[in-house]
Amino acid sequence: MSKRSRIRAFLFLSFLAAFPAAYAQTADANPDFRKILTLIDERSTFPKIDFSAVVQMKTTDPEKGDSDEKSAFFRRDSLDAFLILQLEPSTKKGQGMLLVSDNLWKYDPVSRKFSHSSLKDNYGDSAAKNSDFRSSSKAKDYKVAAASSGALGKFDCWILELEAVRDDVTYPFMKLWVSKSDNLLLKAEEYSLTRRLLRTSLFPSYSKLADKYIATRSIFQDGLVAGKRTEIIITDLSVKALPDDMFTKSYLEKVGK
Amino acid sequence: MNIWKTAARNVSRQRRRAVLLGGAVALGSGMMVLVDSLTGGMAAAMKANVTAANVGELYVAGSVWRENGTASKRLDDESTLAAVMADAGLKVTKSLRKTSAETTLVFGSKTVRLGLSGIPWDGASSALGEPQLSSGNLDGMKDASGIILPKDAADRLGVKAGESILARATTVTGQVNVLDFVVAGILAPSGGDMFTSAYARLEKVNDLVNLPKDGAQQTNFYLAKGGDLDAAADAILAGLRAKGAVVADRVKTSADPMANGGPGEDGGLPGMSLGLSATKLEPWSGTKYTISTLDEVASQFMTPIMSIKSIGAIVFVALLAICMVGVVNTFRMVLLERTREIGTMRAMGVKAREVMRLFLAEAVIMTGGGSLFGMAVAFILMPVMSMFESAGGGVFALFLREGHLYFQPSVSGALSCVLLTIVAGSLAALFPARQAAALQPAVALRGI
Repeated sequence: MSKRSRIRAFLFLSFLAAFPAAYAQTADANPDFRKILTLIDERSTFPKIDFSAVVQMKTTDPEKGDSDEKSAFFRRDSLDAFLILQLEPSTKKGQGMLLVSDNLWKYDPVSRKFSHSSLKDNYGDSAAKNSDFRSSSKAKDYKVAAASSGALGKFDCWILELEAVRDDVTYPFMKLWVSKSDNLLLKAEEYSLTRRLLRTSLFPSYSKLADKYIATRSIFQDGLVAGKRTEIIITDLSVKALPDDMFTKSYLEKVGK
Repeated sequence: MNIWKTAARNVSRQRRRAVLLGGAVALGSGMMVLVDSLTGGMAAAMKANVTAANVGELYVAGSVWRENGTASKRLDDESTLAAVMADAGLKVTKSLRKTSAETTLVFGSKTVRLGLSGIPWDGASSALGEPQLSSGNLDGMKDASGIILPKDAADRLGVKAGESILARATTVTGQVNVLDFVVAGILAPSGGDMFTSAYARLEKVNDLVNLPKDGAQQTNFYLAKGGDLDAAADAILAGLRAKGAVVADRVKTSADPMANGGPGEDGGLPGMSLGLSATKLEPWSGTKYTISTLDEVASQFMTPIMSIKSIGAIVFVALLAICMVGVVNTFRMVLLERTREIGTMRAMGVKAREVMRLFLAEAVIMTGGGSLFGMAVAFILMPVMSMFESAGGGVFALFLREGHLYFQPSVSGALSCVLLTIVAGSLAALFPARQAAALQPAVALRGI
């Protein structure tokens, strides 16, 4: 075999060897992003079992000062329901929030009155939203408008730019950083209709519970109010069955006494 | 015998007693007239403030049913409304289109939740007229991003005229939106601050809530002075229904403010509610109109006025009861002191009925005189009290006129008060008067 032929053979073999890697890279560059969104939703949703935890919330607010709160959190996704019972501080003990379907109620044990609230509102004075406690529905609410590859710290990520598929989705645009290795949502940015950054959310740690992944530490940074930030730490995770009467207003009244 | 002349002489004979009793009556009557005029003034000031803050007295809002089972606040079909207004022949002096948004205003790390009203601006002029500004000027509203803030909100944000702020709001379909505004002016404190509404250009607020630039959520009307708002609202409702439009039933004005159910469930004011509450709504097609009036909006603020009026009435009744006891005691004393005099009068041919009339005339002079004096003092106090500027803000400011107490005296109310006092005094004097009339001349002359 002449030298020229050897070179040709080498180049051909090199091409054959490189092809699977190149193909793999192409496939890697274009995974089904919709499936990733569905996976993110499914991993944080408990359609057949109940979920409960203790939520600690630390808010830094340059205007209203810092605050620490602790709540008991119960969720039944089959009913699209959750219940939050305030444990600390003592001044707020007994206050609660109940979501059943699309009706969100706040309960004040002092006045013994319920007031209607919205999932779009902030949770108390924090940078967290009431909707952050509800099961995730990104695949239903958004389409992937653009995707790129990037890094978030030491993690290789898919950066997904989402657009709401309906005009009643609270945040018309979102940007997600999803780790390539395990498809966990690490960071999210929410934008207004005028594409102004409203909030940055970071999810640096997860716990696996059954086959689900729960962000046990979340950081919400307000995009409009300089310096406003809320950190949520979730502990005592459980998937034990909860009593049926728990997701009712009467239960909230009873435990609020 | 001239009963009134004799009665006046008798009253003047016991000046100290007459002054004490008349003074007590004057206190009660004066206070009642003052309270009545104050509550009348508060109601008038409150309505004026609500009209100014809402930019109108008659409101026609629209909402559109959406496929997702919610309603969107938007007045899409304005032509039907215009046709109805033309047919109804109402004396409308001014009308304007308006879009409102519940916003969170952000300046640095400070936030304020505030209603924002988008109204048409022609350069620097609008339906607001020439509002008193504590800083800035209306020329700033020539800028498409101009905004006028109430003083309280500007102070809480720490923002000055010329500076930029962010307004965050929810669109008519429920999405979050944010726009930049430049503070053109800061309103001087007024009674309307209770509504704490900021004002911007209609098209800019439409942008914020994602309505077409030339869209609106409602049309507000001002009727000619003396126009019947309730009748006008009914006429519009009937006109719209006659044209086949969907119109929400009106929440009628009631003397009992709570009869309207207090504030609307969706956080709006009664009558301003578009029915977007938590309760399940039946779908409709096209634009659903909701008609409300200033009286309906104002009715919820009548509670404190009614409370003041009730407290005033209770105090008046208590003072009247004390006065009646005083009248009874006074005339029993008079009876004892004048037994011989009455005996002499009877012996000289004065009839028992005339003795009774004399006693009653004395009671009328004492209570009527006291009541008229109290009324006069109240009328002198009113302008004096109106001179002082009130430091009270918040809800209290709603009932003030340009920061001052405002009295609206009612002649019929004052005269009723005087009449009631005279009747009560006469009733109280009736028992001793009958006793005096029943005295036998011979027995009376013996001084028993």
